[in-house]
Amino acid sequence: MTETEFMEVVCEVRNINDPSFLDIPLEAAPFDSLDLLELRAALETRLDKLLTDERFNSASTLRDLYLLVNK
Amino acid sequence: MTDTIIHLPQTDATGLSENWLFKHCGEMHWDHLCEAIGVSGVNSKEMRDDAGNRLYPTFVAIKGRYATPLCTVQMDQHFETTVKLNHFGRAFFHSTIAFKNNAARFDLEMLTTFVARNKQGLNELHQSLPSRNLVYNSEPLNAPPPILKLSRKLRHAELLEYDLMGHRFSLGEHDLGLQISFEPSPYIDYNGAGLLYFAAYPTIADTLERQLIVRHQLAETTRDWTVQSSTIARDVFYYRNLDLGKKLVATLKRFDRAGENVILHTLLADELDGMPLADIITAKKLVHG
Repeated sequence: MTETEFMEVVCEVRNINDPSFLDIPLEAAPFDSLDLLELRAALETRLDKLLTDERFNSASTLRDLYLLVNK
Repeated sequence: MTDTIIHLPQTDATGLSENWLFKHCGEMHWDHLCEAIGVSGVNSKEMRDDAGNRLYPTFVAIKGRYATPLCTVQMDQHFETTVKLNHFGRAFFHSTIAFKNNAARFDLEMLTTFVARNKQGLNELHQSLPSRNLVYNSEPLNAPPPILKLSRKLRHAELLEYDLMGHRFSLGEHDLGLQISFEPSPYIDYNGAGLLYFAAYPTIADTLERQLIVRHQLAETTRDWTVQSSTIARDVFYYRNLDLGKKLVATLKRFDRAGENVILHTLLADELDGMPLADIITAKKLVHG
């Protein structure tokens, strides 16, 4: 998944389409815990695969999530 | 399909008890969810996240649309319940539940996720997910259900107007701001997990709205508000829980007459820190005496 494709999904959840948000702490982005669950569900749906890595719960930036998606 | 006969436990002073209806449909939702993820029940030992924490089912939002007002339901009527359940990702389960017979129909849309406790005995919760080993056999949704998007916009105060059954109103302007404090009852409002039960939220709103309506003379005073009106639509957006023994504040933000209906919007918040617990938006049909 490219950064652009990842940000398209992010934009669906929080209307953020600026790649600079990739490195901003998630609390400042701002995402609450339900937003992160929705983002994870949207990514799972888009990729048709389960994102089960435990580090998904402790990600501090969108880039962390992006890297986990592509792991 | 499940059959129910309406007896006294399913009723209250207004007709069919919406509190009971929420509990009944909530249990149907969880029964189907447990079946879909292959666990024997919400209390089963498999209902844990990968870290071993006990998972609790939690509601994100519920929409109720009642083709017939709750007050029209009579004793000994037979109803059937049908459930359609889908999942969105591993986190969300969405159901549409119909409780109906030839004379009446009540449709509920329910959206849930899972939480675990941060600390034993307290109701600070965090989102978590069932074990990755569990395989979901319900039909997946390929897009978030609209009720999830609506919940998100309300949480982030990104919605300027709300539409309930065609009645549009501003969420920020002309706020009545009528407030009342309340301690939910440990005996009827909390569940066995020590959590303020999802079905209690609309009942608490109804109870406190009635008191505010009397106190501020918002409706006629010759008859009790409970018999003047009957619920025909209910939207509940859940944000957080409340520790046992703590008080909440209800703020009646809107009380709009819309033809033969009244639209009410109440915010429940933790009295201690003001953090929102739920938005509850209701349409009640006026019943002529």
